[in-house]
Amino acid sequence: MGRVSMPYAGDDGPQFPVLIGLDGDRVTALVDAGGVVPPPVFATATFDTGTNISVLSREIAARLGLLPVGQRSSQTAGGVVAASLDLVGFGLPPMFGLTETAILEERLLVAVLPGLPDDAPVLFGMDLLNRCLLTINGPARSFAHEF
Amino acid sequence: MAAHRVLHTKTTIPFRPLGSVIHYSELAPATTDSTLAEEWETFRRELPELLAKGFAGKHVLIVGSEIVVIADTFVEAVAEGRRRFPDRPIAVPLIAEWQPMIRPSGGIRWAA
Repeated sequence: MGRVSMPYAGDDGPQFPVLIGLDGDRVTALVDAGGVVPPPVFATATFDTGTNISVLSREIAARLGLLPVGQRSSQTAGGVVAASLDLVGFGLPPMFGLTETAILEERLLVAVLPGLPDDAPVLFGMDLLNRCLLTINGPARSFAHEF
Repeated sequence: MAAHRVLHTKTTIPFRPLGSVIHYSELAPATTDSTLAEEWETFRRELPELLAKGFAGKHVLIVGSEIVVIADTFVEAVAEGRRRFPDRPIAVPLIAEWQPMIRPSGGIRWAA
């Protein structure tokens, strides 16, 4: 089990660095075909218990050249809309207590949506939170994430 | 013995399971800017027949307007799709009366 522990500032809640890359199967296929595997994208994620699937911005999807594997409906204030679904590899960089990159999921289904802020383009949703132990110490403005 | 009053003898309202789901009849049409608009419309059109044929719980691989394969799992369907169509988007939706939804987050500015 890995563990990340770090402080956070302000009232926005814990944010932390993540690595987003192609899913393992696509990496294998690209390597076998002699293709170029794009490097993972280093981005800031926010824990979000309000979403049932982790979310990426369209900018990250474009940088990785993700190919959608479907779409799914979502209820919004403006009605039911469809969002793109993609597969990614999802990891944590060797920081804040990790001595090496931790791969949380080699094949994670995520939603790709517009409207995420540029400084936090990843939402770490309940699909991932349900697999880990998250402890937030609000008064101390720190959190620990065990996975 | 008191007589029991029968409130309903028959209902046409489908039972809604827990969780973020939507009845397939309420799936929204594809937007014009969607990469998978053709696949999504194919899925919406074909889903009632797929359910009637007993494929509920399986995943269907759709490319363009073609149903390519029906697989037991999402992973199997994606693998087959990528093997046959390595350079293009594919759709691998779940065959189900109640379709999974994305529960939106307050952190997303949907108007963008």
